[in-house]
Amino acid sequence: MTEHAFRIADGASRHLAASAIDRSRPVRFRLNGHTVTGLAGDTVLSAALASGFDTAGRRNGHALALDARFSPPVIERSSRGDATKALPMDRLPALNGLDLTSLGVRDPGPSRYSFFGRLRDRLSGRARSLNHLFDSSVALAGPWADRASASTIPADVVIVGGGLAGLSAALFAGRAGDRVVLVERAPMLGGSARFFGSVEGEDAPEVTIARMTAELATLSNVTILLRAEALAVFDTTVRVHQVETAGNGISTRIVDLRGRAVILAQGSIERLPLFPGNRLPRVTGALAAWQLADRFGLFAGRSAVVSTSTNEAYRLGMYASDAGLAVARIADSRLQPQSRFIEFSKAYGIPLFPGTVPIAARQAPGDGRGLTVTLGTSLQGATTPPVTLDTGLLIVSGGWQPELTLWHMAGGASHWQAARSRLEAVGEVPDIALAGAMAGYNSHRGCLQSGAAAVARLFLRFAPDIDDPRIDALYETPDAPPAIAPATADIEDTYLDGGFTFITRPAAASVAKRNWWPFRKVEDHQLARENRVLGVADVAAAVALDATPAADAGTVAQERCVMPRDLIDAREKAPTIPSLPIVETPAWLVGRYGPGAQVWLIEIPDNRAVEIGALIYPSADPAKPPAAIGAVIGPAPTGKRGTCAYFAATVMAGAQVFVRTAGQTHAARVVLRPADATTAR
Amino acid sequence: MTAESVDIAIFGSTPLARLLAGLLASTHGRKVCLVAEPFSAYRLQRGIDLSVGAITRPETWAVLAESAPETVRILGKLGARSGLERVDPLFIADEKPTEAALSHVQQVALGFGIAIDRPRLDAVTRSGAIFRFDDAWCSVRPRLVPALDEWLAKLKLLRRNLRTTATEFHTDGTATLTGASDRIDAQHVIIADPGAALDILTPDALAKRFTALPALSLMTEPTTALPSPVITYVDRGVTLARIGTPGIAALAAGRADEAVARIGASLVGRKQVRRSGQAVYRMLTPLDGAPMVGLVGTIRAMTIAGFGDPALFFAPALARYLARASTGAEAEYFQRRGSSMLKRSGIAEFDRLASVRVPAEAVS
Repeated sequence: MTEHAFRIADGASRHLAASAIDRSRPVRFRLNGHTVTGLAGDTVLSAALASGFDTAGRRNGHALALDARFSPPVIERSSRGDATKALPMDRLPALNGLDLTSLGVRDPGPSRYSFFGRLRDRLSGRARSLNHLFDSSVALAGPWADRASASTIPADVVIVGGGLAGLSAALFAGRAGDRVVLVERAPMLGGSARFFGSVEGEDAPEVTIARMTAELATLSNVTILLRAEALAVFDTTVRVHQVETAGNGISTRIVDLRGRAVILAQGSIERLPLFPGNRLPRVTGALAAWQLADRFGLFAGRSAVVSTSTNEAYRLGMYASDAGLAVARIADSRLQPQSRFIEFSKAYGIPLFPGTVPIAARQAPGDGRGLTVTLGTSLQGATTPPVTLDTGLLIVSGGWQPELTLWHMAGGASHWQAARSRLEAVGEVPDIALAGAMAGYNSHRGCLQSGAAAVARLFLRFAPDIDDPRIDALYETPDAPPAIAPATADIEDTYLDGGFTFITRPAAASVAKRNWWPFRKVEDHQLARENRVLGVADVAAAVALDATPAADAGTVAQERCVMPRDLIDAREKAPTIPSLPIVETPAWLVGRYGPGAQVWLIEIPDNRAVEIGALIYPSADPAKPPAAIGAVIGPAPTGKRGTCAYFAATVMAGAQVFVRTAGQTHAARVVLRPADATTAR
Repeated sequence: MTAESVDIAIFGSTPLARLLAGLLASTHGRKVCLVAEPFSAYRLQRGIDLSVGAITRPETWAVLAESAPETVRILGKLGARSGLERVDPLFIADEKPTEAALSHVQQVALGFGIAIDRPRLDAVTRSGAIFRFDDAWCSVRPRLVPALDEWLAKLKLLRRNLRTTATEFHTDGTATLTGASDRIDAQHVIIADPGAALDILTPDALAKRFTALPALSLMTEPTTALPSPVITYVDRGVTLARIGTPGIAALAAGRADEAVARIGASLVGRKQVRRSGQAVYRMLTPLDGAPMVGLVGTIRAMTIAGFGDPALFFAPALARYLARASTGAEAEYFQRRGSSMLKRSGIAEFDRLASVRVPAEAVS
């Protein structure tokens, strides 16, 4: 393998721009002791993938892909032991001389690919796995989520997401003179607009992005934070983790962006089709594959099978073919899909298989650098036998789930939209607006207009109409829900989403239990028993699997899709709620002993100590608390002997009473009121 | 559209609301409709059900001491015993006035045969005072609520979904419930939990009788066991519970960011505990911090509030009172806790959250 075996050859693609990298400037760094070769503009993740790393480690004995949706944090070797300096692989620029190690539990066992494969890797100095074990049930979100904020940036509006909607919102607010801070996770602006494209009569997304980016650069009141991940929203403050570079140095910061309003424009998550092996190395989402190819000129394989329920994947398959990848077939779960991209794909000579879903994927025998994919019919009751084929890459597209995590965190609600088979935001949150795909807009024009409309709604208090053109279903078949393979006791796990949550498909056995147990209906909500953070795409998949009732989906997402930050507060003195005012007679005693009750001093022989709160009775006979005539409320005032007690008005000086405490009864004498004691003094 | 009439419509989704509905129907022969949210196994708990509490009034203990064992017996008979667990809950005081109040609770409870000791447990607190109740009951809602629902189904009790039922409340205390295909006329309305009260009562009615407080329910990833299945840090407004789950459920009063900090400070002796779920909700308490069962608002809805964590265990006594079957001290107890603020003097319980409450209509 050459150093850049997975890179698209320079000039080989008219469509995949490799816009982030500079092919003339190689970079070299170390990851887990292995040399990684990349190009200027790469992230550590893209360089690692280009160098042949494709596996994050193992979970439940199976290989788990290293990809854009999941990569463990890394740390510079010189900072090992200080988890606060952990860095995200996908946001960290690949720089010469970095010496990084990935964080997490190391896998002591053998990898699943062959001895010879491992021997070859060892001899060549290459590796393909970061060799972690992900069996622990705790979430694996970045440790930076636990860090406290070091600074605050005030703003009029904070915009999360630098796609079309976010850029449009920033421009609209920026032109009006508002202080804008825009947060984008990727190293560049534009989001996934180029993946979705535009329709006739609209500018190409790259033209729109370039125009808006250029204008934003002229606005001094607009601040753009790239490589910045929004971790949380509370009120109108957005907490952000940003990777910054200066020369060859790297730093990170946690900053609170305190706005008067917040616009969330984070787009959608690509859903995983549900089949065993859906997170094996070299199984990748279409959007993730597009981003690697378009930004870094990278396809992590030389041949591909595409399995989709959306039209965008055809476009990717076409461009991949154009870039030299052997696209063996495009399988579509829909029976008779129509799309202009389907026609183009046919023209490219790519075999198309409608009504076909992935049944399973396995690592191919040998060096494990390929996949064996089984495809079957999506038609219920059909008897067509499944087809098995080998491929370098399986590109899957299971439709889109708006990324509602921050919306939920901000107090927003969502509900299951059955027609689109996904969770959608509902209701309003004061001073927070949604834009773009998060607000339900999909088109180029709709996303642009919704960004501006979000600003108008927040600051001008009016909601302009938004034109979100959709091509008739006759010509562009709508997305179908993600394909679901039949439940089998397969050796590979089926994950509900591609992120860090690792929620797997509930076992088929639990469904059987519900069916045959005759005496009692067992509501087997397996996800409810998971004490783990869920992702919104996990919830959407769980509804599709009937593992979560659709009516509960909004609640589940709102309550369970949270940032799994550490809760421990190690302050010396625990924080309390504000103290109650100190009063002589607390409210909980007022009225207990009738009208006119008052505080007296009592003396107990031998100055015996009694518990505060002890009850006082008129006689030594056993009696229930309602028969008590008073209670001990505290020690005597400074300089006085005795104990303060709160008594019924009938009690007089000199009376003998009985204090019952800890099961013992002590005779006591009422001596005088503390007020009198003060006077006598 | 079909029409039916019932004696009582009970609004509420807590175990108390469900048990009350069943008792009024089965033991007291009333025709009842329960208007509740369907049980969701995913939903984080908005409260716990504990057979003891920081109760300072002897008359409250007197009712509870009778009613709690009766509740356990009833739940056992109806097949919901698995929805209860025996626990030794801990109450922690960080401040002296709270320690004094809990010390009084200890003395009063002892008079009703409930033992409370004061252990030293560094794993719980190094500076605060610990009060450990011996042998209390705590509900496991994911088991208890489905069992109660099964019992209600056997009773053929009318049930409607709180989310989808339109209700018109009338000023004479009656109500008309309209569903997709039927109508139910209720002679009386009972509001049995804070969620329902906040939904139904007008801001004006709420403000005259109640204070409200934002609150947070939080769940953690699996972690080591708590020193006790239920721990209440009274001065932090935090309750930690580990009942029927590998993680910890935490409930805390106050704004979310402050509540998270107080919960974090209460997870003593752990290096790292990550949250796995979070929900915000509202707590509702009568202005004087005492339990209330009385008519509220122009709609004259019998509203039950302020019974705190032990509310479920008052259910048999409350059902008797609501069915006008209470006698003696029990009847007198509830009569003193009606909604008339004039008659409610001298009944306040220890209410540590009084310092942070705001008028009910101010909490959104």
